[in-house]
Amino acid sequence: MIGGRFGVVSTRGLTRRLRRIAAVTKRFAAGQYDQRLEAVAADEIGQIEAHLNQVAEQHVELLAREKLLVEQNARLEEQARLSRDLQESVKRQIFERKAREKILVEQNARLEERARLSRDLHDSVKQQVFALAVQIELARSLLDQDRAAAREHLDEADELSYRVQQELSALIDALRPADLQAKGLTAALRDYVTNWSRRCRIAADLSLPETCLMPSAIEEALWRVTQEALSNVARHSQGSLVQLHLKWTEQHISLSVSDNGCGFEVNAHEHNGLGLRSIRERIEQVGGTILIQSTKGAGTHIVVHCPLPHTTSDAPPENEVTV
Amino acid sequence: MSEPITVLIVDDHAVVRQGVRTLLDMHPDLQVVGEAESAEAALPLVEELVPDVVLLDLVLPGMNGVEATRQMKKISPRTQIVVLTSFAEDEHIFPALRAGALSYLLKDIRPR
Repeated sequence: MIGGRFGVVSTRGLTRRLRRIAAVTKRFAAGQYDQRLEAVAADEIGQIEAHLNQVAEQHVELLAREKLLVEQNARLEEQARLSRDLQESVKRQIFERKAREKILVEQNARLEERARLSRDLHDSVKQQVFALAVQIELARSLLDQDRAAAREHLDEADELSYRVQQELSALIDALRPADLQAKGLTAALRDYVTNWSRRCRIAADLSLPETCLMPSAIEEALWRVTQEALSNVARHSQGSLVQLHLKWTEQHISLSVSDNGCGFEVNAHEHNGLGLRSIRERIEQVGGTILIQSTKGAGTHIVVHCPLPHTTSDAPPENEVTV
Repeated sequence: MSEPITVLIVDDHAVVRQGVRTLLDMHPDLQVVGEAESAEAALPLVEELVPDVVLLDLVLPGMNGVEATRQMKKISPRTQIVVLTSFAEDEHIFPALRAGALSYLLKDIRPR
């Protein structure tokens, strides 16, 4: 009787524990590790309960680690993204700064062109027109007293008005866009020098290469050097011959302009300062060098050397601006 | 007749010097005593000739008209400097007057 009752009690306790184990394992299977079993008894079921509790703890720990890893991973990805963004932003800023610099250089070049034009107009045309007006005034004053003297002043006025026309033609020619892109540097130079030579009555000896490929910034710079050099020859040198040589290889371009005129002191000649400084800056901007040699009485010699980039394409590499 | 007024012409343009000289030569009471193409060339002439008047272009290669005025007045205080300019708005006119120039003349001849 006692044995039977004990059997019933212990079976009942056993069933209850097994049911609890089943309920907890069901929760574990559903991914819920919040409950634990009371593993107080040291019997086999007690051991199972203790093992299940351990498994649950390990799972919880694994989950926490996994969560930590996921979070760390997300942080790393965020940092990588920020670093990429920062890199992009720095690249963009460099690109924008270079673009701004390029615009400033161009603006500066335009302002210097205008300053040069203003100086040229003041130095040549304005003074000659004043002198012309003086000669007309003199002729008018002498007309009644001395017709021969009046005629001399009119001849002088005639000569001056011709010189004013020449100066204006030269300035208009220098201002006309070169159309370098359509013609290419060699054809544009040939046309310009031929016209200049005819207009100024100064002989020109031209030597141009068959092939001549280079970035447009270098073409533009060489074009301006030629214009400034020829303008100085016509206005100051009193020379009778100009030699213009252009030499091209895939690595280098060189331009030399020489005249047989009166020359000037390179350092002392402030009159030419702006024009020469302007072309020096232009050449330095495209990575070249310019040498201006002049001796009083022995003419002027301007030599430009410019290394050419490996590709002659104008397209700037990504995120870079060729200045 | 009293002594003519002596004039030194300083301008870097030969055509301008020649025109002004011929104009002044038509007046018997004016005598052009010299010409110079720069301030540097004019200073020894001022010292040597002590002209009554210097007609001085403001825009010159090398030393400009303002500095030239100052130095000429130092060399010869009795010489009167009249500066020549192409523009009435020339920013150098007042500095030249402050440096001792008597007056300024425009390089400008109006039709009658």
